[in-house]
Order: sequence, then structure tokens, then C-alpha cells
Amino acid sequence: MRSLFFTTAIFAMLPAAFFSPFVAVLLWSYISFGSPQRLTWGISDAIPFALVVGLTGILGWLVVERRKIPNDPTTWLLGGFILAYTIATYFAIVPAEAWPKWWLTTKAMIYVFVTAALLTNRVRIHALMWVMVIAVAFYGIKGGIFALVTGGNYRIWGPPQTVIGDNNQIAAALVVLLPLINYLGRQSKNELLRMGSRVAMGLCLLSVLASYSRGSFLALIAMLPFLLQHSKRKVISGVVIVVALAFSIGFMPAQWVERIQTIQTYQQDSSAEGRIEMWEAATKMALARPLVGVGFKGPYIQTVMDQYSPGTTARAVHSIWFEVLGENGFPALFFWVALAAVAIQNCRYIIRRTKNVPKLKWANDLAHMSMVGLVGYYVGGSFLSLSYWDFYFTLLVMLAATRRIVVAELAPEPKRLLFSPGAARAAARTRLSAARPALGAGD
Amino acid sequence: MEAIFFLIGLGGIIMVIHWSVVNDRAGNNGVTTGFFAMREPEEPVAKPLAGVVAKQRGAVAQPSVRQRRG
Repeated sequence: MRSLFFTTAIFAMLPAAFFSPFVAVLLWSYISFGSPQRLTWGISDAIPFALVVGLTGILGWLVVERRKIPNDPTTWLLGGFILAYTIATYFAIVPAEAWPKWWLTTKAMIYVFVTAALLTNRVRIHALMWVMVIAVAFYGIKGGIFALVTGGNYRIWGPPQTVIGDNNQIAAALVVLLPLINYLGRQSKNELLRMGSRVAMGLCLLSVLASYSRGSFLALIAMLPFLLQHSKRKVISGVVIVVALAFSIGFMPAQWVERIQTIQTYQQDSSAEGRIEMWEAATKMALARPLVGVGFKGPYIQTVMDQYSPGTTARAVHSIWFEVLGENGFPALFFWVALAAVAIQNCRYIIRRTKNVPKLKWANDLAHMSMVGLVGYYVGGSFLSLSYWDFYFTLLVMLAATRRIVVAELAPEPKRLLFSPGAARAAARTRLSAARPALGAGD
Repeated sequence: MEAIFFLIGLGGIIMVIHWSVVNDRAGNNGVTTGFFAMREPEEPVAKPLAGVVAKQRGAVAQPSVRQRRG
């Protein structure tokens, strides 16, 4: 039944996706971030939805709404990052493992560029944010209710066979999502949506805890000061956050508390020790091959691991920073870090410029909450492999698009246009065409 | 339960897509409408000064005084 509804809905919207390619961006984002097709069975199994929607959107972009990819630091750095990891993949130690992941990452990146080109106004930014939140919050809300029903005794997992399938990864994704839900709640006129966003935030918070992810718990704690800093009513927000967190933690069973307490004794914990071992192994790989690393999936292959860090078991690197470094070398890490720096800079710029501008309050809220989400991602991501998450890259182009809009909106009235010969001619033409009917009417 | 959430999510996505197409022309400064309508900036309401209010009241009262005299 689900399969039928999903397939019908997607195919029914394909014409709209062609004639209004931003619809394709929204559909792609839903499919890519939420992987709803993984929750369906039957006829939808054989259909490559992402490919169908993606190609329709690109065709529409090229034919119907041809807009240029914006010329800003974010897109240039994204281009640099793609180039760096493509070169690294060419020199990968096990190309047969590296190229499939290259394609998986690159097709997501292509759509990040399409998204960047078509994010032209605040309505589109707001709509995309809704789609991103609905796609991922589905798992948070479902997981939160599951945790409530089962008393938090079972772990929450993400959609299978996706980048957020692991308990740590879905928890980190939900940590990033919390402030974004808050933004949507703040910016919605509809009281039902405002209330709903608060409930969704509570359930997602419970989901994060019920994932038993210690990295995400740390990210949550790291995010709180930023959330308070970016809150208007600091005392009330602080009390609400502390009460919500205390209630959620109090709700969790003893086994959860035991697991979280191992953060303090990480030296005795095999999982935490294993992470540090993998970070060291990734660093050794990067130092041995500084320009290209070992290639995508290299740290997962035992023969590769034996070559650079004998005695270490091959597995996920468990850090967004070390994953890029070990797999694709220092140039890719440089672009990755530069992208992060530009994103933070964009947030700070938007916050500073829109502080007392009522018409750009939405941009101010967006930048504030994105900043909090980014902090959550960088802290939580330091303990898990989520470097090539297209949700994150989409958030980066969204911030760049918001900055462009802010710059355009705050630009002084185009006085210089009056003095440019082209604009003067256009203005004269407009005046003449406006005067003609009046002359005719007088005859 | 999961099926219901799935359908609500899918319905939500369709509604957002519809909202974005309908409101696309609102651009950066126009007023958005519909279920996902964004909050618009509140117009700053200037408080009239006490003296001005008193003057306005007097101005309203004056014609009726004149009418009575007439």
C-alpha cells in the first residue's frame, strides 16, 4: 500500500518537477535525506526514484529554468572538494571499492549544485528546510514515540542501507535537526505548526538519547550554550532546555546512564579506545600518502589497514575529520575544513547584518539556528563517519543563498543604475510607453 | 503505526511542494499564505505622545461645541 502511494505521488509530481525544477530539488531532497523508498516494498523496489527525479529536475533546469550556479566561495570550495576526492579516487589503493562510493558521493554533490542554482528566494529556502526536516524528523518522531513506549530500553536506528542508518549517525542527524525544527517553529504563522515543532523537538531529543550514542550526547551538551546564546529569552529558554533534558535523562533506564558514564572512563572502554586507534590509523594513512590518502573505503579494507597500521582491525574511522583525511588526503581535508569555515562565516555575517532588520528576521533566525546545528554536527561528527552527508552540504548552500539574499536586500537603492546609460535608456523607454496611451486617449 | 507516519510524512512533503509553487512569486518580500505561511515582520507601531492625544480629542470635540452654539 505504502509502495503504491509513494510511487503514485512521485510519478504524479514528475511533470511539475520538469516545468518547475525546484520541485525536483524538493523531491530529490526528500528521497536523498529520508530514503522513504527503503520503507516500501513491492513495485517501488525496482524503480530508481532518485535517478528518475534527478534527471527530470536537471532537464527542467537546463530547458525551463536555466539559472547559473552561484559564483561564491561555497560552490568554489565544493568544486575543489569534488576535484580533490576525484583525484584521490583515481589513485585509490582498491579502486573497485573506491569508485562506487565516489559515484554515490558525486551524484549527491551534483544535486547540491542544482540546489544552489535554484535557491533564489526565501520561500524556496523555507520550503527546502521543511522538506529536510520532514525527511529526517520522521525517524526522530517515530523513534521518540518508540522510546516512550519501551521506556528507552532499546536502541533507535536510522533507515537501513543509508548514511544515517547507524544509531550514532541517526543521532547526530537528529542533533543537527533540533535547531532547524526550532527555526521552522519560530517562523511559522500557523499555531498548529508552532506547537507541532515543539512536540517534534521533544521526541527527537528523546530519540537522540535512546540511540545510546555518546558522541551525540556530547554534541547535545556542546550545542546548549550556543542555543542559549542565540536565544532571545535566555532565562526562559535555559529553564525549558534544562527541564526537557532532565526529564528525558530521568526517563532513560539505568543501562543508558551506565553507557553514558563510560565517557569519563574512555580509556577502559573498547569502543572509545577503538575510535582513537582508528584516528591514529587514518593519520598514518594520510602521512604515507598525503596528497591522495588511501581512497574511499580504504580504512574498511583489512589489507590496506595492514599496510599502514598493522594490528588494527579495519572498520569505519568514526570521525568526520579523520575520515576525509585518511580516505582522501590533506587537499580534500583542506577543502572540507574551508567549507566549514565559510559556513560559520556566512552565519556570522547574516546574524550581524540582519540584527535589527525586521524584514530579514527569518534570515537572522535561520543563521542562528544553522550555527547551532553546525556546532552539533562538528562535535557529534568528531566521533562518527558522516563526512559526505549531502544534508550537511545542502545546509551550506542554503546559508550561502541566504547570504546572497541578505546582501541584495540590504544593498542601497540602485542609484548608480540611474546613471548607467543602459538603465537610463530603459527608464526613458518605460516613461515613453507609459505616456503613449495617454496621448492616444487625448486624440 | 509506521505506515501512518509514512503517509503523514509523504502528505507533508506534497503540501510543502504545493506551498512552495503557490508562494514562489512572493519572493523575498511578499506575504506568503497557506498552511506553511511564514511570519511577516511586525510593523513598528509608533506610540502617539500624550499631548498629541489630548489635542486630537479636543479637535474631535470642537465641531460639536460649534454645532451647539449655532
